[in-house]
Amino acid sequence: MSQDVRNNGSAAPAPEKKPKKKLKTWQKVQIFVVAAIVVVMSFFSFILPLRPKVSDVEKRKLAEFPSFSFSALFSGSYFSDISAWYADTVPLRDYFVNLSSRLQHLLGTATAQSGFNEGVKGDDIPDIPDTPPTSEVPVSESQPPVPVNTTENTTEVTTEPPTEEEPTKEMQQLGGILVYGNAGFEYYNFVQSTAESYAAAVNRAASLLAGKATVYDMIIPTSIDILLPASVRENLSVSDQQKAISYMEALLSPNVKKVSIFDVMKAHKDEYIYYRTDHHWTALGAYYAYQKFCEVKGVQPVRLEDCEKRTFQPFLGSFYSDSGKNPVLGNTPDYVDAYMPKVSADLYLIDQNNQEITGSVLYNSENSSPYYKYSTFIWGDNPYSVITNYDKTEGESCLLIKESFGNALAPFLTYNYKYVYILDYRYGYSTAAALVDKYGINDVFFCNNISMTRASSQVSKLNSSVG
Amino acid sequence: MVFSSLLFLLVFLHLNLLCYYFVDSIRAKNIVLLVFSLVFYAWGEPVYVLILLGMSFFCWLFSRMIENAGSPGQKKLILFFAAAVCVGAIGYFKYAGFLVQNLNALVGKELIPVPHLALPIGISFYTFQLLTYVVDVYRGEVPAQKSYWRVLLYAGLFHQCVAGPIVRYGDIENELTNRQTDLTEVSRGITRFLCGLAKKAVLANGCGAAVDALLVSDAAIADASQLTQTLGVLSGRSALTLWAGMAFYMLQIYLDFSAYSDMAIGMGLMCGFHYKENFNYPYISSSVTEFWRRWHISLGTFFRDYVYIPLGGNRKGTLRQVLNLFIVWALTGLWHGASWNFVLWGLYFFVFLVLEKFVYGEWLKKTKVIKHLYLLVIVYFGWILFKFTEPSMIGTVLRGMIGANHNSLSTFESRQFLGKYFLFFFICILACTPLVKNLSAMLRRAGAKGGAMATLNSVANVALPVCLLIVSVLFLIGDSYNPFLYFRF
Repeated sequence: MSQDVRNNGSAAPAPEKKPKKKLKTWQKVQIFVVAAIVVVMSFFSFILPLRPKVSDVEKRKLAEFPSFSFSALFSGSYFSDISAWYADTVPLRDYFVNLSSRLQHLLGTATAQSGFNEGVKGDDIPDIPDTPPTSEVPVSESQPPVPVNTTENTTEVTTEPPTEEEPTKEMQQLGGILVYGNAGFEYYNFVQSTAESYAAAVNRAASLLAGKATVYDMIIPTSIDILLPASVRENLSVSDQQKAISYMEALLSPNVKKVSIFDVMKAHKDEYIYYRTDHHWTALGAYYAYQKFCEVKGVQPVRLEDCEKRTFQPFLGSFYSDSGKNPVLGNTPDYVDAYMPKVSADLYLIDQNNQEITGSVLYNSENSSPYYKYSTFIWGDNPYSVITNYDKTEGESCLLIKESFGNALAPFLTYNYKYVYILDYRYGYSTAAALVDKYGINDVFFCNNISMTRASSQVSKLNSSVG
Repeated sequence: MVFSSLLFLLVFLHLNLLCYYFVDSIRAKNIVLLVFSLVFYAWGEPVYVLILLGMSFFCWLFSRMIENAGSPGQKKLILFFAAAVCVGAIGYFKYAGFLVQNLNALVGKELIPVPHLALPIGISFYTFQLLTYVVDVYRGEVPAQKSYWRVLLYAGLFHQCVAGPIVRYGDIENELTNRQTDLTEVSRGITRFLCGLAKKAVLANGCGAAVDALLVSDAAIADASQLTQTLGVLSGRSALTLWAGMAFYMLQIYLDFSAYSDMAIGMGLMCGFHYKENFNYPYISSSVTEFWRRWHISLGTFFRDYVYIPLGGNRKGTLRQVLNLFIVWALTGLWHGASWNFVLWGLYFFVFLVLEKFVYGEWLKKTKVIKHLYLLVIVYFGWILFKFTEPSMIGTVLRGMIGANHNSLSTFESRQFLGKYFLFFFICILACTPLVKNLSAMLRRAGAKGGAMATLNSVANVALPVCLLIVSVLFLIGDSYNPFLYFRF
């Protein structure tokens, strides 16, 4: 290039004409060390057997190496999937993620990772619903929704005795969850339209199955409204679950038998009915709800003493992961008490990979990772399962429509039924109508936690599972 | 591929440098860079890489024709064609949807269906580079490049192709054929690159996570079907949350963008290229005029040299100067995105620039603290216009900031969140100032005299990049959240 290059920018000319500087020792060392680290890391990253396939903490499958197709190549997804695979399945991932989250805690940036709940107070919960949204099932005159409200008022007085107020513990927000003392709590915000769709879906089941099966409905409150002292709760951006459940139950048609467990849970709030490091209830909490169910149905519940009890520990659940593995939760892990009525029974299930498995009702989680201990109950979430009670030669059958909260309750039902069919509505394996017709099922039991009634995608799946 | 990804860092870049240093001749080195650049680009845009190839071809061809053209009239005509191709490509891919939308809105019915084109990565950067090349050839400031491949390398070099800086052809013309790998510069490049990497992976991503949590994510803003929900979230936020969220956004956008320039400059040094600085601590400016001399310098000088001055600059009277400024700032805004809020953002700065030039600029200079506060406040509110594409969102945020959305000024959640983030916030603010740069310069000067300080200087110069590398890699592993903001442009 002989021609002079004119510089028309404003900044100083590029310094390439400077005389060559003497290379210092530290520069050599720096280049060598950095290069060596990168090369070692790169080699390490290609030890393919060390690349994990699932993440226990996050309870998800990690990205897989994409299979080649021309359409994926042209759309660019083939390459981006390779990048995702490479980053998602780093060898010894759990170890490094752990290290990274510790660093993020030091800096404070871990806080933002699973959301921020301010201001999403949710809709105002109407006191008395005007008319149920379903025209199919008219509300009978004898059961106006007004009594619901009076119960609500009376219970509020009985369940919040001011004398029981605990001393205040340290409260903080970690990720999207609230940590009070050493327990995590999930926020709940009422969404009126979704709550109404939920009630409509259950009502639709009742009208569709009228004359064939009895429909039961249970909306399970989460720990934030049961365990957290009222004085603490009122400073948070959360909706009142008792009011929300009353509202939804008032929308249910009289053909639906309501299993209201809010007061039951509240009465047992000093017992170990919810996990501290996980959003689920314990089997004990599920047992009290089951008792209420039996009361509504008019049958005798199994006594807890008549159940075989097994304990699995330690258990570190979703709140622990959501908090970025915060030691406040991690230092006091939960344990899983599992109960099984002493009857001869087994469980048949179709898992998420469409595999059929037959085994005991409770999975032996002794050796499973601390993050998976809740999967003790009916082997975790599976699209479809059936519990058979061999001690009964004949008897009623029940269809449990549930998400993971129902898992802890399902074993108790074995005592009262010959068959307990279990449908996890999220996987769309079958529908209530089809199963009732096929097996002549007597009871259909919707058993779900209140958080699902604010998630429109979940409610629409539930609605599809009706049939 | 983004620079701050594990695949880039641990596979792509290190293979690239290995090959680059392995081969001897400049020709082979250029081939290595070109092949890697094309793979890099095709990784993100397997089809649109053809646009890069095509645009480079046209600009190479037009430049040769301009140089060989006989009369000035011919030269002008060819230049016009070249500019039309460049502006046409960027206009089609980036602004067609926006234009059609506005046209339809204007006539009140769907005259033309709105095209939904994916924006080719980096098109705003590399077409501007090619444009400067053709214009500079036309002006006789640089000779036309004989080799198509070298024009392609100039436009498509992965260091700066997708995220800037907008490198002028004249600045690296010589280096395309004549550059040396100097180990002192490799060392400088490594440090610079790793500073950029950490700035992105640790600081900018951390700010980004805070912004997404406190305000709403860019994905939610861009999704028109979610408008009601997004407004619902924003109107529920306390004043403290909104103020803090925008402060994090202000930090994020600088740290993110300047980190990419740092990495580009660092990688350039490792291969013997010298790119100009693109950011010069813009938040320490004391006027809007100064801010734009320190912020995205390569874009500012582009509009100055290729739009403002050709339009007459300040040589044709005050009124014409104001009009020229108006055009430049409307275009600068529009360059950032095909949406009215970006135009508004550009014109917002136009207003203050004109005020400074003609009304209170002299007075402002005499103040000490006020001028800095003034600049920060203007830039801060500017980012609100930049962040939110919908006027209704901007209104909601501004109302919420003065507590007019019926929320409390702060909540338990916001105080908790910010309490945890306080240290990080402080670190990010320091990273926007020349503090670290000045400290390291002091250490270097002290070390030049030898003795203990020299040892300290050496240790620091080795330990710092190593720590930055390890921490960045850890953050990248732990952080699936890693989108690059400027890919929209």
